[in-house]
Amino acid sequence: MQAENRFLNPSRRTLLVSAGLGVVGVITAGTPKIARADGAITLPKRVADILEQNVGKGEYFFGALWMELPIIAESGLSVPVTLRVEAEMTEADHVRRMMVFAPENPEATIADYIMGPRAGKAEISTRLRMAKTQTIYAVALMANGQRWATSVPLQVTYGACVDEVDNFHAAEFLKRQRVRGLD
Amino acid sequence: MANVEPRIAVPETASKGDIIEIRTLINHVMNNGYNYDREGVVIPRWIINTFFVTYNGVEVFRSNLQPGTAENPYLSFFTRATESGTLEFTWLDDDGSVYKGSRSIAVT
Repeated sequence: MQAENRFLNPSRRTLLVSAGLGVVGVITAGTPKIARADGAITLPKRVADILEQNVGKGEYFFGALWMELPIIAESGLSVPVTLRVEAEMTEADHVRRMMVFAPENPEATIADYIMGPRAGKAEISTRLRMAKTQTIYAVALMANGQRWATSVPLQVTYGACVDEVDNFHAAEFLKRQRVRGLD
Repeated sequence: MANVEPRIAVPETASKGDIIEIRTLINHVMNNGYNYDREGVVIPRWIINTFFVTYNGVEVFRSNLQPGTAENPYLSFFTRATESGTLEFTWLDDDGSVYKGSRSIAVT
């Protein structure tokens, strides 16, 4: 999927640095060094602390959780995100809770979503507010105790959390937002 | 808050066992408590902090929103159509207001 492909591609910065140093030869892929050999994710301290307080200690693994984000957000005011877990959503195997984190925001937790086997499909979409360019993290807690996590880097052209509010421009931007069937 | 109008999209009919998509949007400024106005005065936090949905009285989805959720919070999620009845949507505001909406669904 999109998120994975972006991990596999060398980042623009890697290429620029390589060019600047005159390095010829193999350019290492821009894979963030968060996935350990056993597949567990090392979460940023801020996110790990919040999780430890709310759901207790535990390891989080790459695997069943997917997160879709745009590559570049023109405005941090409203960034669409979709979270999806590949789960049967039966009594034995369902998602209990999903959480989204933006570690560089003034408040790292964005929201948590609590569901059960009645959901039928573990997928939610919402819109985030982003202060600046950063890597977004998501985790999913399963009924059987499994913990999944994933991360996607996101470029934000114009941050939205700690600025002077230009009410005119904010209103204009939000007016242009349309949701199919909800207008 | 004046003129808050929840917008909810639920299919009117469904077959028993179908997984249906529910989409909601509510007008709200969601001031996160970090922005400031032209005079440099911080605009206090004022958000919708909780959203939950019941299907014939049984809770099927809940979300605890934080200031990182965008203005006019939009949420889409899924549920299984089990029986005909009513889905009730509730949003709780920081200032104590409660916004409600409901949609009925016919399950065949």
